[in-house]
Parts: sequence; C-alpha cells; structure tokens
Amino acid sequence: MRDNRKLLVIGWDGADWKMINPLMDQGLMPNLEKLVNSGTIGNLATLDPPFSPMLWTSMATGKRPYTHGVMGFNEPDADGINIRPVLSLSRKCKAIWNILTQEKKKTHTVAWWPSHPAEPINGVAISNFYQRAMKNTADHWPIAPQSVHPKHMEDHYAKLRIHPSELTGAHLFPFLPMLDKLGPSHMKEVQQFRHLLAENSSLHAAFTNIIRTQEWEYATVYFDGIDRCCHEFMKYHPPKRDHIPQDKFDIYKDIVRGMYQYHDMMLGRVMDIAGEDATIMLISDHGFQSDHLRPKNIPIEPAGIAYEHSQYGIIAIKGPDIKKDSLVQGASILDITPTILQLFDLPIGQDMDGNPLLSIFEDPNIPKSIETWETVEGESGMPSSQYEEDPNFAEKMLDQLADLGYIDKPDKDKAIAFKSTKNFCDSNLARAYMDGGKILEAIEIFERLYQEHQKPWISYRLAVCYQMIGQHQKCRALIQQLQDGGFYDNPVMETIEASLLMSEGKFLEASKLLENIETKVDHTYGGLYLKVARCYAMIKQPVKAQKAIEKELANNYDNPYAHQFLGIIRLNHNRFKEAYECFMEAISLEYGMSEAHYYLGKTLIALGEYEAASNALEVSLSINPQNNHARLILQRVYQTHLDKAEKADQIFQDFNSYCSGEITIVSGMPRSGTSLMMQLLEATGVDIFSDGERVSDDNNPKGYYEHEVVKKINHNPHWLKSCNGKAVKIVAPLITSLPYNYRYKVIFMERDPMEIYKSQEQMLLRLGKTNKKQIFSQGIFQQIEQTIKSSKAWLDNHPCVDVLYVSYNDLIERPQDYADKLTRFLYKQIDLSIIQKTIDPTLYRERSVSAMESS
Amino acid sequence: MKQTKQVASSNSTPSLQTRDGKKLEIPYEGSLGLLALGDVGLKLWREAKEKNKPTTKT
Repeated sequence: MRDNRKLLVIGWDGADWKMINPLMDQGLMPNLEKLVNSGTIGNLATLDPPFSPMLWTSMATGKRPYTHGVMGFNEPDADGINIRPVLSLSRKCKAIWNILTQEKKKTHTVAWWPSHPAEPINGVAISNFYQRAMKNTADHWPIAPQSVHPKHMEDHYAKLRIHPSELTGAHLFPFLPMLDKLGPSHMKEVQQFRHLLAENSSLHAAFTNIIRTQEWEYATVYFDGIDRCCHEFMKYHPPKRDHIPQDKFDIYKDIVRGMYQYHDMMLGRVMDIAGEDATIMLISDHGFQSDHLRPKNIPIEPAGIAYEHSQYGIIAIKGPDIKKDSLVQGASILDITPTILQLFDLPIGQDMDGNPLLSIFEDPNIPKSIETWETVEGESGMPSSQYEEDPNFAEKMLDQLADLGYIDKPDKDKAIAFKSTKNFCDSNLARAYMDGGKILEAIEIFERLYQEHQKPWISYRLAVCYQMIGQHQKCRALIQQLQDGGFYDNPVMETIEASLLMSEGKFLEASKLLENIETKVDHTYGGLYLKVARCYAMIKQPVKAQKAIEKELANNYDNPYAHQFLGIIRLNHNRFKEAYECFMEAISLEYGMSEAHYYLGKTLIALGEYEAASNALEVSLSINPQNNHARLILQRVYQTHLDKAEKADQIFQDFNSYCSGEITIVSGMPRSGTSLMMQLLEATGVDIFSDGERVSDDNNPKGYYEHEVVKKINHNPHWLKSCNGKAVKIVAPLITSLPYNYRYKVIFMERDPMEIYKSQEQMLLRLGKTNKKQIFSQGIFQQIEQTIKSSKAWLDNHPCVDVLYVSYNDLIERPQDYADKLTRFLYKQIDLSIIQKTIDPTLYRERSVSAMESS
Repeated sequence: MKQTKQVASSNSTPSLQTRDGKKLEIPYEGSLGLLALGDVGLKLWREAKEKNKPTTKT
C-alpha cells in the first residue's frame, strides 16, 4: 500500500451505468471510459430512504443515518420554532475529512451535501451553500457566510462562482439545440437548467482551482447536476413514451445525455490535473430510472420524487495498486469511507456499518481496526457550534429545496412547518431503522406517527414492519383499519395484503389478489410478478411461476431476487447450467444475498465443481452465519469431495454454536402413536406446543396435541422460536422441513406400516371422508413406507438431531422398557407409573397379524 | 462538445490549445469546453468578455 497516496473522490449524484454504458459505447464519454478501462468498476447499492443528504453523509461516514443523524433535506431547529436546511452541524459523527485532518493529511472538500457551515479542516472546505445563486443578480451576489474555510480565501473562491445569468446560448445550445425557438412557456425549465449548469460549473471551477493550486492528499467534490437534470428532464429522454408530448420531447430530449457528457468533460479536466499517479474514485449515491421503468406518476408523499431513483449507483476507481479492468461486487455506499481509510492504510472503525472493498486492490493489506474514531483526540475540524445562522439565507435555501421538489413548500404557519418537518425526519429515521434491520425501533416510531396522522405512506411501512417480524394479527388489524377508513383501495396496500396472505400460507388467495393488482398497475410497479411467481410456486404451479418470473425480468432485468428465484426453479428441474447463470446474475447485481451464494453452492455441487461450491458456501456463511444448512452442506463438501477433514471438523464445531435452542419433536406417520407420546410427555410435565384447535374424537379420544402453524413449516418456520424448551408434534412428511438452527430431540414413533395403513383407512371411515372400505392400494402403502424411510434417513444424517425410535407396539406391550430410555433421552425422570396410566391398550385397534402373534 | 486541454502551470499566463496542438481563440460568449476547463477556462472566458465590452465615452 502506498504511503504517498493522493486520492480524489468525485461524487455524481444519481449517475447510473444504464445511462453511462451506451454513451461510452458511442464514444461520448471518453474520459470515464479511460477511467473504467484502467480501473475497477461496480454497482454501489443505495440505502433507504434514498434521500441525497442522508446517503452522501453515509458515504462520508460509513454509518447508517440513525448513527450519523442527518435525516432529510431540512430539519427542525434546536430553538423548537424554526426549520432549517440540514447542515454539517446536523452530523453527529466524524466524516472522512475529519479523520484525515486528524491524521494530518492535506484534505479539501467541495459542496458535499450537507457541508454548511464549512468545516475548519486541514485544507480548503467549500460548503454546499457556496454555489447557490437563488434570487440574486450577478452584480449583487454575496457569498453565503461561512461557506468557505479558511475565511481569508472567501473572496478568492467567491470570484470562481458563475451566476446563471452569465451563461449564454453558447453554453446552453449543446443541451437545448432548439433554444432560440423557445417561447416564454419554456422559461421555467430553461431557468432551472441554467441554474444547475451554473452551479455545477461553479463547483468545478472551485475544485479545479484547489487541486491545481493547493497541496493535496485527499480532495473531494460533489455534483448534483445529473440528479437534478434527471428529475426535471429524464421524462423526455429517448425513447419517447406515449404520454410525453412530441413538442416537449423534441425540445428536451438531449438534455440528460448532454449533462452526462458535460460531466465527462469535467472529469477529463480533473484527471488531467491530477496526473497518472493519483487515485481517482467516482461514485454515485443511487441510480436513476432511464428506460421503460421510468414512473409515469410520482406518488403523493414527501420527497416522492425519489421514486425515480434506482437501487444502484456507480463506483469506478483507478490508481496505483488498484486492479485494472476489473469488477467489484457487492459494494454499498456504506463501504466508501472504510475503503478510503484502507487506501490510506488507516484503521477502520468497528462502529462503521460498511467494510473496505478489498477486492479492488491488487494486493490488499490486512485491514486495521479501531473501536471508533469518535473518541480519538486531536484537531479534526468538526464544524463549529458557534455557527450563526442567517435566517434569510436559510429561508431562501428552503425555498430552493422546495422548487427542486425535494421538500414541500414550508407552511407559512411556523408551528405547522416545524411539526411536519419533524414528522418527516422521524419517518426517515424509522425507514433507516427498517433498512438496517432494526424493525422494533422502526415500529415504535411508525406507530407514534400513525397515531398522529394516518398518512398512507406511514401505514404501508408500518404494515410491512409488522409482517417482517411475524406480527400478522397486527398487520391484519391495520389493513382492516385502513379498509374501514377508505384508504385501502390502492395497489400498494393490496400488495401488502397479498404478502400477508403469503405469510399466512394462503397462496391461492394471494395469487388471485396479485392478479387483480396486475390489472391496475403498469409495468413499473416493482416486484409484482416476483410475488405472483412465489405464490404459484407454493401452490405447485411451476409453469405459471416461471412465466410470472420471466415477466418480472422482462420488466426489470436488474431485480436480483427475480434471477435468484428463476435459478431455484431451474435448480429444482435439474437445469444446473441455467441455474448457475441465474445465481451468478443475481450475485453480480447484489453480492450481499447470502441465499444466492448458498444456491450457487448447491448448483456447483450438482455440476461437480466442489472447490467453487465450497467458495460459494463460505461466502454465503460469511454474509449469514446463521445458515446452518449451508454449514452442513459445506462440511460434507470438505469431508467427502475435497478431502479436507480438518476444515470439515472445524465447520462441524461451529454448527452447535449457531443453534439457538432445543426443541423436543414427536414425529412419525399419522396413526403411529404420536398423539399418545405427546400425551405421555404432557403427563410427565413437559411443556407442550399445541393450540388445541383439533379436538379429540373417536380416532384420538385423548386429543391430537397439534398446532395449526406446524402445517406451514415449509414456508414459514419462524414459529419454532415459540417452541424452545417445549415439545411439538410434527408428522414425518414434514420433518425434513425443520430448519437447521435449533437442536432437536426427536422421538420418532414406529409402527408396522400395514397397521398405519389400516388405521388411516379406519380414521377416514370414522370421519365420513370415505363411506366404504377401499380396495387395498399398493401405491399408498408404498408411499407410507417411503416416507418413513426418507424421514429416518434425514434424521440420521442431521447433525443437531438426537433421535429415539420408539416402537408403538412395544410401548403398549412393554412400557417398562421405555421408562429408562425416555428418562435418559430427555434428561428428565419419566416414571413407569405415568406411562402405564397414560397408555390405554384398548385404543390399539388395528393390529397386524404379526403384532397379534407376538402379543 | 470539443475537448480542449489547458497546458500551462498555475503561475504562468494560461494559454489554451486543442489536443492536437492548435491554439484556440477564446470566444467572448464562452463555451461549454471553457466551463469544463474549470477555473482556468472561467478566467479566460471572463478576460475575453472584458475585452469585448464596448468602451464608454466620457
């Protein structure tokens, strides 16, 4: 790793490879092409909510919003009365430029969002208020106070700003070839474009001046030009869609392309100045829909324009020690700061949510680690709390944010504006919690907000949170409330209900509802067909499932879950090579999907590629260490195929540490004595997991001891956590669905298969489900035998199952044999007297000839 | 959008030439290429604008 590293980080808000790739192919972005060809590129996964100040602060800190504290575009002021745009003061932790300042690196920042007031770092800091022209004229354009550090350079940088009115046709024609024919009706759009071009050019002028005239080791600049341009003009980008008026399309169709090209020109200039030895990192916080996925309508909710974003931004990096012509997978915006620290060989904070992207390096050092940078002493240049806010300026900034569509125009009543801003920030905090997997924290906020005002965007997310933690009843109650309040009839809520139905195992109902939604929405409605496909798969309609998933991919090829799902379908049909392609595609889009790596591992085993399979399973486990099934398969690959016994032992040792509890299972075929064993366990004081729904009858006069949820174990095993330390009855056909993250003590009831067959037949007669004795079915009999055989094989090979086989016949005839066996097996005293009291030999009704002979 | 290259150091008077070495006259109305050159292009453009200003008779 170089100790004389010079790093430039350039931020292009909203830049997307989908736009860039065709432009590079046409030779229209030669500078970025050079960067791409001489470095490493990849997707950069965004966070939710996808609001730029929150995202760029996550980039600069390596932390999620609930840690860094920036919660939107504006925020309630500490005075409890006013609102203000988010500031550098809003950030509760050190940004990368503070850490580098502490490390005595020459550090410069330009216009990061948010970065006002400018921070007293070890270099030049230019805040994101610096370039804003707002309603001033070119002749009278005072610079925003505290927008430049050091202060003595304020005048110097003020002169590098370009006022929108300075721009001429020569600047605008490349974007607007019909400019001279435009009437006053186009004034608003042209003015907006003029502003964004001037503002971004101002930032470029300041940045180029810094890196030309100042000593630098780290310099960073943020441009919002692409994002703003896309929000305003992407709708006119080719191909033209039917609802776009032809005249407007003709006028504005070149703007987005032109803005990308202009950014490429600016990049070229920066690369020229920086020189070949510099490391250059280009990043964006999210992508932007540019094709058929562009939404026609923007949902009515705060900052609804973010629905135009797409999930992946870009990263491209080149420089000494950086791999050339390479691809980085699984990168997230949280990884940027850890990666910058790694580039400077500095320790990564354990309190950071991201990781260094080691795969970009030719020969990476082992990352160093520090508990936190927050308590490291030394001048870090954190923003001064002595900031004196200019209320007029803050107001103008808020107006501009509203003009840009980021926020609603603040209410004239200050109390209302304050309250709505606070609620928006709180809902963003809750969304950030959701995104970070802190669902309970999210629910607490959403419930409070929902009590205050039943806004649809709050209730949708609250319902999703309830589902995520299995609170189906609360979700159902919320949906009911919304139905009663007349808020229900829209596709978003219906989709949530469909997901709820799926969680409840009602796949047929869910698929019908989803098909109904399909008639109401257009193809931009994300993920609908994936849900439809899941429903069809669960109700065993693979052809319909495949058609639905193909539809999903036709709409959105970048949906990694759709690729994964198609892969699973193909894997189940032994189409291993095609399945492999699907899982690779899913992983290339979203590296952090542990399941995709897991299924890739299984596919590679089927293809006989054991080394690659072990790698895939290792990656899956590194992302999700709880996946004991992956651990089990990996252990067998090492043991059986790769002759790595030591590795296999090591994996096996990890197995138990990822089991989260112990459950006693009573299993066996229906009518093999499972209810009797449950009865016996209850009599000896074992806690039973049963809902009592299925009441006793002639077939089981002493009760069934079942629970309704057990039948859904295939698709929802979450209820098992309620069984910890208890006994639950799970019949043999379901036993192989037990997940691998518990230890199980299984009492497996055995009975002569012919007796089981006859007993089941008698049961159906008693229940009136058949009215006459059927002719003996060899097929059913064989199925019983086969199920017993496969269940036992599964149990015998499961690493965290202890199994005790109990013969029903023997238990009835010789209970004394089982008192000791059960005592030893369950580590619990089981008295013979209890067994004898529980057993009623008169209920042993379907004896086979051999059983009768032996008794 | 023609690409240009600024070759002078910060301490000397900047001159502008295209990548193939030809000198480029600075248009007083500016250009996107000059903006893309950053502070140097801006300075050149503003100088050209200044020179092109009509002189006022006193």
